[in-house]
Amino acid sequence: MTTFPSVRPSSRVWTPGSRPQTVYQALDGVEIRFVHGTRTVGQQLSLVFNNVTEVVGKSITDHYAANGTTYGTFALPAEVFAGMASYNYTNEATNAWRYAGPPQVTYGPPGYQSVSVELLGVTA
Amino acid sequence: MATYYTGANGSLFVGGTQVAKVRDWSINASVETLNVTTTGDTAQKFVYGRQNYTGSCTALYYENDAGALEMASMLQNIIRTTATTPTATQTLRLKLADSRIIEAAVLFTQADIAVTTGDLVSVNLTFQVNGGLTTATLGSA
Repeated sequence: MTTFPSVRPSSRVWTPGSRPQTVYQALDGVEIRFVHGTRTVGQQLSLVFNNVTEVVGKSITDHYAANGTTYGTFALPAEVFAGMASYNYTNEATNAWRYAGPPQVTYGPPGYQSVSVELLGVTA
Repeated sequence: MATYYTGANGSLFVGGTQVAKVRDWSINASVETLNVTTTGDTAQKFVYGRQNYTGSCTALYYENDAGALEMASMLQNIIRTTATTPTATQTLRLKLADSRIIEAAVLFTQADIAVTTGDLVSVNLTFQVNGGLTTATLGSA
């Protein structure tokens, strides 16, 4: 499993997932839920890297390509969570991540670009 | 010896020809800043981006001895009956002394002609520098 480039994002949006469960609703409205596991699934992480140099931007798109685009899974380095004293709860021990789609690259002045990526948590 | 400059030192050239009756000129120089702040930073960080130059001048609406409008070159791309050539630029030189010059290709973008009773007709022009400066000794040491 590869590791995402060690780059600090400009902004980060984390959407916690939920435990897999099945919901049954009776005719009278009473709801019963069955939890199928103890791991959280469906986590999402949006990262935006504003005005990074071409080298840094390319390291992200290169990682996307080398990772089989949206196929492979990878780990996230601590740099991605810069600014948080504790981030383990966003990245469970054996969790991996994969790209939800291609990175978006917006070109700015010569030598600079902004890159945004959407990641999905994968229970590995 | 220290040297100070006044408006009397100023002159303006379009296409290498001095425009004789200029009252004033000004240029605004700026550089954009790119925000490179990342999570974990406790203060905003920036790097320089692209330069931009705009300016204005006021010239008297004046015909020379030959009957030609002195500032025609500054108006020709604004006041006309046909479409302006998209790529038309003119070389503008703003000068305080031989060693204090700004020169660049510019697009004259606006002309305000003021006709007032009891006053000379004057034209206030604004311009946009196209690309970078070709001479910038006005700002060098």
